[in-house]
Amino acid sequence: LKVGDLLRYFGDGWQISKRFDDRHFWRIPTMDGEFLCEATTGLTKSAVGGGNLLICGADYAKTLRAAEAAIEAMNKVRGAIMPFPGGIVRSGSKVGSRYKALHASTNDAFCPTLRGQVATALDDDIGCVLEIVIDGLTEAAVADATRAGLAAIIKLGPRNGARRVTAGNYGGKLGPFHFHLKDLLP
Amino acid sequence: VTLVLTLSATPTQRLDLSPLVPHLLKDKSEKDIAAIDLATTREKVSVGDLFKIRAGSPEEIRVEGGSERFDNVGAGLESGRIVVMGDTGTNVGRKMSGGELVISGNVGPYAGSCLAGGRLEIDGDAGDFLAAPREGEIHGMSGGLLVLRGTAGARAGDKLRRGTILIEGDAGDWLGSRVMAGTLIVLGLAGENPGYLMRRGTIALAHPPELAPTFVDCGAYSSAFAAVFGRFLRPQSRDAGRLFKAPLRRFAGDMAVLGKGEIFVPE
Repeated sequence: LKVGDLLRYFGDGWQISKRFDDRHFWRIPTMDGEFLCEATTGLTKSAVGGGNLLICGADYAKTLRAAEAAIEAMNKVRGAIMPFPGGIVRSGSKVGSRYKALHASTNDAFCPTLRGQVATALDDDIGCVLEIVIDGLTEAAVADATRAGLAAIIKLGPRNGARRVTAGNYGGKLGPFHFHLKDLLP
Repeated sequence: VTLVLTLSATPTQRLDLSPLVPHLLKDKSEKDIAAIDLATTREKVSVGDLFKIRAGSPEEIRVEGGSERFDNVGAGLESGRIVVMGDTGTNVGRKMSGGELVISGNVGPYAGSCLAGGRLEIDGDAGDFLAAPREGEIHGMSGGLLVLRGTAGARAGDKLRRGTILIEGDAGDWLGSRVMAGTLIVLGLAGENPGYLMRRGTIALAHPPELAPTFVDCGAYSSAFAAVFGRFLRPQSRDAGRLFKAPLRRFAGDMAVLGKGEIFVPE
């Protein structure tokens, strides 16, 4: 998959190509110094994407604390990544939208401010939900990362962290893999 | 087993050793190899006249004993490995495109000339025009890795286009002249005017001389590239790895031409 080969044009002529060790890199000057990227990136279609955890807490600070604790533990699992910046997603989505052009839209059932207007999934004591998305090379890697995340959240406890943890399975519409949190409890 | 050629007589003329590469010796018997002519004058000199041959697979060739008169050693090497225990003359590893060539002694000028791939290691010193193109050729080295443990003469890395040259010792004047791309590292002292007329490419100098005024200061440099490249160099040379680990300063030039080259020096 060409990544650096296309990103290099951002360098506007100041990009520098470097080949060594049978690898090809592009160096692109950026405002913070320099961006380094390989010309091509491996691509696998057998990986598992879109595993997730929905972390429900009383308020933003506590939920974030739980999410960050989970990410720290999950980063140690090999073969799995949490692809979003910092690993944490605030704008979790559902499949589909009322607008034709959109394939995904805000996950209204988990929006605390909509709990009176929609069929909410939230209990009264939940004020904030953050999501962690997990992509892995194998089903086992995603399961391991999920297990590690759950363990970290549970260790933090409900008073300072999350009160509930769930996951979106989107009615099974997202793909063939299903991770049941109850099976992954530490 | 390795094919071993042991030098048994002093060469009486300059010799062309370019036939002694694995892909040209593949289907030859010991007798065929002994008959190969290495002479560069009207006086015939065959491999058998000069060397004692111990038969083996030509995928790895070991030459025991060297001479400043051995030219074109490993020239055009495509695969396999050649080790020379001794000195060699000009054009060592010229236009080699793969495999590995190791010279334990000193080499003459134009070592690694137009190197295109593979790895060339020279444990001794090299003459002028390391990795440079020969007369009339447009490009110099275009790939591969050249490691020189000793010192280099003038104009090392002339017209370098791709690949990496690592010089552990000192380098002469006009180091990296007319470089078009690629990377050149000198851990010892570098002579006058490094990077003269370089267009693009990277030169890293552990002990730089005063740079020409056509190189402009770009300030401190810190990037993932230095770390990644340093990790690549470390197995070849610990000191090279160290150079890229320490803080660097970047100079761009040569502004007399395109000016997109760079010289890294320790901060």
